[in-house]
Amino acid sequence: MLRFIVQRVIFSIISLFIIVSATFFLMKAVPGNPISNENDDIPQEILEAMLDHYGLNDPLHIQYVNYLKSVVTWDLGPSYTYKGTTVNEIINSGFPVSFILGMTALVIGVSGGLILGIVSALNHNRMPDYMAMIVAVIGISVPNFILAALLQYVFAIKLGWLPVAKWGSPNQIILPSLALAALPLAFVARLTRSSMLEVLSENYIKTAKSKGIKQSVITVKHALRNAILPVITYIGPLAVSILTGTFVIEKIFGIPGLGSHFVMSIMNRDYTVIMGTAVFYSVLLLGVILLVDLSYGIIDPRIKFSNKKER
Amino acid sequence: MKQQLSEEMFRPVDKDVARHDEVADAEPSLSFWQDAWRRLKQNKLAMAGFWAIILLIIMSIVGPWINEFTYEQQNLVMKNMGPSAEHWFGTDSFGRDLFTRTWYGARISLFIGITAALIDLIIGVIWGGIAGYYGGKVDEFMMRFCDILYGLPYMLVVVLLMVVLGQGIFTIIIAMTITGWVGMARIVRGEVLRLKEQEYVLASQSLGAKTSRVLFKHLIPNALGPILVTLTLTIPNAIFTEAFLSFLGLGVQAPIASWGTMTNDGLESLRYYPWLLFFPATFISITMLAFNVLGDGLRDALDPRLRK
Repeated sequence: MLRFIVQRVIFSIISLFIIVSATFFLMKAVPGNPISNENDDIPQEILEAMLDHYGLNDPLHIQYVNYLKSVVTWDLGPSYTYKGTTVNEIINSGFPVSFILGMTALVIGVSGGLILGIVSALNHNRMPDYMAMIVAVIGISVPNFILAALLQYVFAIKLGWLPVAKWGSPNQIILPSLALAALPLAFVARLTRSSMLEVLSENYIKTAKSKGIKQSVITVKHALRNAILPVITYIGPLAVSILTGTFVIEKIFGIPGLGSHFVMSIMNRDYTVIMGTAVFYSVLLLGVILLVDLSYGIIDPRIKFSNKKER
Repeated sequence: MKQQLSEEMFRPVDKDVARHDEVADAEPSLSFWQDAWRRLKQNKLAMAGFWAIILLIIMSIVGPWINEFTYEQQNLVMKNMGPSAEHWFGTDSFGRDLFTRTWYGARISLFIGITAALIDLIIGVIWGGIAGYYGGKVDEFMMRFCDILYGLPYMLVVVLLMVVLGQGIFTIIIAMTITGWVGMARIVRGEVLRLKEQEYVLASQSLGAKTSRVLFKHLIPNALGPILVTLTLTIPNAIFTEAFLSFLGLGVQAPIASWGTMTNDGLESLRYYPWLLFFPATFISITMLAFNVLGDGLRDALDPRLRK
């Protein structure tokens, strides 16, 4: 177990190192430099002074080492576009917003998906099953930004029930989090359905039934507890999909979260913000995936950690 | 009773006739693919997806030529018109015909989706095939490489690559395939690992077949089912990624239209001219739906473990 944890942690650190390095060299591969790209008519002396100030005149390997140091100490440098603002400040202001939005979507997606999956497994090959699976396949097929636009059009513009955009009051969370939750909901529903179907045909379910236990107790206590494992495995990819979803959803709804800051920094070619946000996202995602991996053993004691991967 | 013996009765029977006699009542035997096709045909949803895809491909080829407008032809007098007899899907804010642009966008979106999926397929099959076939250290090394790429958040990598590579159809395809092939490689490797233990592979090897022959004649064709399913499910993902990038303003550049850029344009005037969003959005959704149900249907039809 300990060996497994150490191995997984090392693996995550290697992945992170690769992302940080790749981001750095990718951004350096862009022609020109952040300062002259922004202002064409800047005098040569001032340009040189600014490049010196930001350390952009140093040789590449020095810049690289400095960047690695700044990532380790979590001091991601200044924004080139918004003068006087640091990347840390942008992350600190944007992330809490995105976190609330993302967690709401995650809760809606997982709980909605579980309910849909259970209902359709209990009514296998009957009407509720078909309905639920049609909902699921539509959830997978309709891109989240289109769903967002649709929700906005119907519930905000046409019906006027909910605010069109912006952030602050609780009812402004509803539409964006629904748009974000659709894809996870659909995936969780399909996963839950297939693993519930598998579990429901096990002998211990028959035993429980023959003992006269109520269907609701069997479903929750016997079946769901075993069927939920694949869903937990899926939390990692789920987090990835919600996170990348925030790029477009926050743009559509004008939410001042990290996703829209990231998109803005791309539009402005604000390289330190792009790099810093990308590194932050990677730390977050690799952390989530690592936690999920490590939690298997606690949730399902049948899983033995070993070095050989079965596939 | 005395029977008349003739010389004819002692002639050897034709080979084909003999076999025909034996199984006269049986159905003609089906190959694996015929069997799968037969099962796929029973799945109405998957077949609807299949025909929808065929129709979309045909329309993406002929659609832009059906009426007299071109996709970049502007007519500022006729801007933001609703659907009418002249402009079947209406016009956009530059007075461009939306019908022509929708099918022109289909061409771009489908081209990007299918090309990216095919490149993933080629790299994935070669990489996964070699890793699975040789096993051991080679496999360990190749798959560790895959694991690391697989651990990177896909959309984030694609977005970063697009920032560096710049906008354009081919840069999108490059950005998507740099890490996109890993999924296919993992599937192919799993299949090859399973298949290489089969007796027919041993027979082929002991008859002196070269590695490339064993790989491409025996292993890959037998792994074709899961490969095909993965391919079908990769295409909608690639179409979605392209639309996502174009929506963020990182995709194809004007005047070229894709469904993603059209959705982005449409969103800005959603309140007043909803059809600008409606048509591209509907067709992206239909396309992704069609590929998804076809992929699901193919998986059911090709996977003998799911047979009832």
